[in-house]
Amino acid sequence: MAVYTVAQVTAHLRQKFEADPLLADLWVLGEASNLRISAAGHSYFSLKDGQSLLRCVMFKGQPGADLLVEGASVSVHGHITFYERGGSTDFVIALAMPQGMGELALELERLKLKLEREGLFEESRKRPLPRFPAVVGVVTSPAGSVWQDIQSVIRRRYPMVELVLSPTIVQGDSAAPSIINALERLNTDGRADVVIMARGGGSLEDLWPFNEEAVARAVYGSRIPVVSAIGHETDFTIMDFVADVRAPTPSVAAELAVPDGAVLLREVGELGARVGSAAAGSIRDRREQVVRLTHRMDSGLPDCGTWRRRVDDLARLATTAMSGRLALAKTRVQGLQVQLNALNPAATLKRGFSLVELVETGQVLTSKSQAAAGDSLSVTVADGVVPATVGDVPKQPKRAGKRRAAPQEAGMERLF
Amino acid sequence: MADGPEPGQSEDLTFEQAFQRLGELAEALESGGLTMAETTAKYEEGMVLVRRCNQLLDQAEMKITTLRDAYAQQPEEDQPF
Repeated sequence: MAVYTVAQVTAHLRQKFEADPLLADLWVLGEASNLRISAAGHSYFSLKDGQSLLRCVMFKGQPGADLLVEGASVSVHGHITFYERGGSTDFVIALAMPQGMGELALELERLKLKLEREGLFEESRKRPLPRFPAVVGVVTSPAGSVWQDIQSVIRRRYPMVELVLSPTIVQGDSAAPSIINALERLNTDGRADVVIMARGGGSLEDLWPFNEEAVARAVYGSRIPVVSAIGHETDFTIMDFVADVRAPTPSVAAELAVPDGAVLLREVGELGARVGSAAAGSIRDRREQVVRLTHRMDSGLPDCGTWRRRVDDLARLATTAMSGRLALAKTRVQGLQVQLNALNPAATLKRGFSLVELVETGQVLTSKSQAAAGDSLSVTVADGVVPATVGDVPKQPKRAGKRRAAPQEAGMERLF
Repeated sequence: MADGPEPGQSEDLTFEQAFQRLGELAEALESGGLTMAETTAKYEEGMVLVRRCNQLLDQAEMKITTLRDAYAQQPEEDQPF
């Protein structure tokens, strides 16, 4: 009888456990107890029922770890291994769920978790639906009311599209490959701008084909954006998470796939109004430009009024200057007249002087030597002529004559 | 008016094309800088497009086609499920 080392036995146990397919993929229902969370954040606890106990470990960050509280009933999924260093059989748990969920629900959670980790649900890869699809593909059963609902919604909202039905079975074991095939046909056809994948309500089992991994991968691989609408608003399938858009019901999926014609009509009306008012505004602007230009041209013309006033002002100035000069001239003329009057012999005569002329010769008598006794004289005074005759003129030497003349001159000076 | 409305052309426009063009016209007219000839041409084209859009929405009849159901036509015994 061979003797083995401990390590040999524990390694053998470990190999046995890990080779067992049941132990590698195991759902277990039980009550959590003796929960201890290590410094690293891993949960160590026991899963027990009335008779038995399993030692469990759940590493930090696994989904559902927060459900583990003392005494809680949980369904857990994971694999059993033999921990050689501790000599214990450990249930390594990858997912914990509250108790009471059926097998399908648990499987659903497991698949969801798996695909989510693979990135099939990534929001960043979801495509926007085209706003104006020309062709809408529909993957559904031609027999159900879902197909009728989709038709009527789209006919009412946006009848410009072509609906392409890609018929499929939506229930039972052959549903999943049929669904995948229907989607592939639409992708091969290539005309559809968007695909609606729809099914009416039903039990979890009824909806199961849409939870199949292969269906999820086919939707993920579709080149055409997919709107999923499976069952009622509260039903969620794996396909809903993979689809580009999830609709709560098939009718809503149809609404999401095409725009609302009534809204579009209103938008067309608004765009038309914008075009109209922008064109009218542009014409109005031109008209205002013409008016502005007219004003500018007007203001560019010579200002006749100002010129007219300036001419007027100058005329007034000239008149004023002229009349001033006339007055001045008049004054000077008057001055000259006074001067002239002073020289007027008549005025001298008025002051008592007289003009004596020799009648015979007409000479004005300015010297006594001109006169001889008996000469006729004409004496002109202010108011007429007095005839006179030279009396006896005494013959005197010139000198004496001059002397005699002096008093006369002096007399005249006195006279003035 | 190379840019102007061509009735024959607008008949062929899809709703999307007509709608998009109408939006472009509205923006072009609103941003200004067009000659009078361009303005009136765009206005006329816009009105043609409004009629086209309304006509498409009002008179369209939804078309339905069915892709051959290759899967369902397979012989019963060949179905692997």
